[in-house]
Amino acid sequence: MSRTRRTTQFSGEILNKIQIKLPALSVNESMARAAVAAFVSQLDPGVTEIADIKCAVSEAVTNAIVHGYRDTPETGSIAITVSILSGRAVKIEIKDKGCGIPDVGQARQPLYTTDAAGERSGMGFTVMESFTDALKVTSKVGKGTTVTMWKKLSERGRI
Amino acid sequence: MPPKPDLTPRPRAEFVCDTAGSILSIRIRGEIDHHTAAAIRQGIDATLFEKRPKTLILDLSAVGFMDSSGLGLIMGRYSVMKELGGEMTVWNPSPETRAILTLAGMERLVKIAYPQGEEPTADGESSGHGQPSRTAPPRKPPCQRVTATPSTARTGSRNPRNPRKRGKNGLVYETDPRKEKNA
Ligand SMILES: Nc1ncnc2c1ncn2[C@@H]1O[C@H](COP(=O)(O)OP(=O)(O)O)[C@@H](O)[C@H]1O
Ligand SMILES: [Mg+2]
Repeated sequence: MSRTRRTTQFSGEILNKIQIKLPALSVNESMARAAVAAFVSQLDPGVTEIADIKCAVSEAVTNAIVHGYRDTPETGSIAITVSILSGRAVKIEIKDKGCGIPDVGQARQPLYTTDAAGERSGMGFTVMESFTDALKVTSKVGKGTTVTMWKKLSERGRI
Repeated sequence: MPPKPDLTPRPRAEFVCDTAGSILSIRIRGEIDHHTAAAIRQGIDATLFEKRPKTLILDLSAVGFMDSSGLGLIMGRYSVMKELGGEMTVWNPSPETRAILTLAGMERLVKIAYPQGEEPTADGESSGHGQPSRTAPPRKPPCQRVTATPSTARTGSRNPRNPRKRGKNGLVYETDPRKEKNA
């Protein structure tokens, strides 16, 4: 299965877009997923679709807070960009300027975690991958991580 | 000096627990994410090490959101129960929590049980909306309420010194177990 093939099916034009910048504080996890869900709701998504999006966003934002900025004494910053694409698709980009991931392929494996002591389950990337239609992770050690997720919503005939 | 206004945000998650004999049931209400999981974990572990139940029933019926932090919470409590020589059951997970439990294959690690007639069907919907059956965990007086606001969260003491009351089997009872026959 090629990842590029899965992301190229989301080449629709951008119809609407928001950008949110927030400090990497765990108290903001719920706000981040709620804000993305509120923006996406203009497409009148199904209950399961919105639940999937909230969960996937929560995973990516939590990773930035827990892992990305784990060694950063000052509070880091997370940038979230949500785009609504033609064809009832949503693109969500979550970006941190934290420590980065040395081996993205390994990090994406189910149950892989570098923080077992913190009771992380190692299932974050698996959740993001399963609850969306495509996931791209780009990362550079010392520079940061960008997680991009695409989801095609079912036809409900509004947009 | 006038008292400072209380700006503490309303807790997004809390739990209530109930002991009946050697069964401890804990009902979590609200959203389980990385932020709320820490206090829930500390509170549950403090209770577990104090009461040392044989069975932990984790009631997820009132959980409106759960991400993989909830998986870590369940897996961690499973380990604690193993350490205590007991077992645990996830009780009546809400529709919002079922997809991630299934994705993680949680049913291979812990028992996931539903009230009779309310087991979800293949499409993920509950098959009925009947009354909770007799097997439902007790929902009697809360013995402890812990919110996920860090300042009010109890720190998890793994070695409680002052158990209040001891029952026949050495367990600590908050409520009289003889009145909890249905549990
Ligand atoms: N934004 C990030 N910055 C740095 N490392 C990350 C980031 N996201 C994920 N990781 C790494 O990838 C691993 C797997 O992530 P994930 O699947 O979400 O599991 P978990 O968060 O439970 O550890 C993490 O343990 C961490 O080492
Ligand atoms: Mg994670």
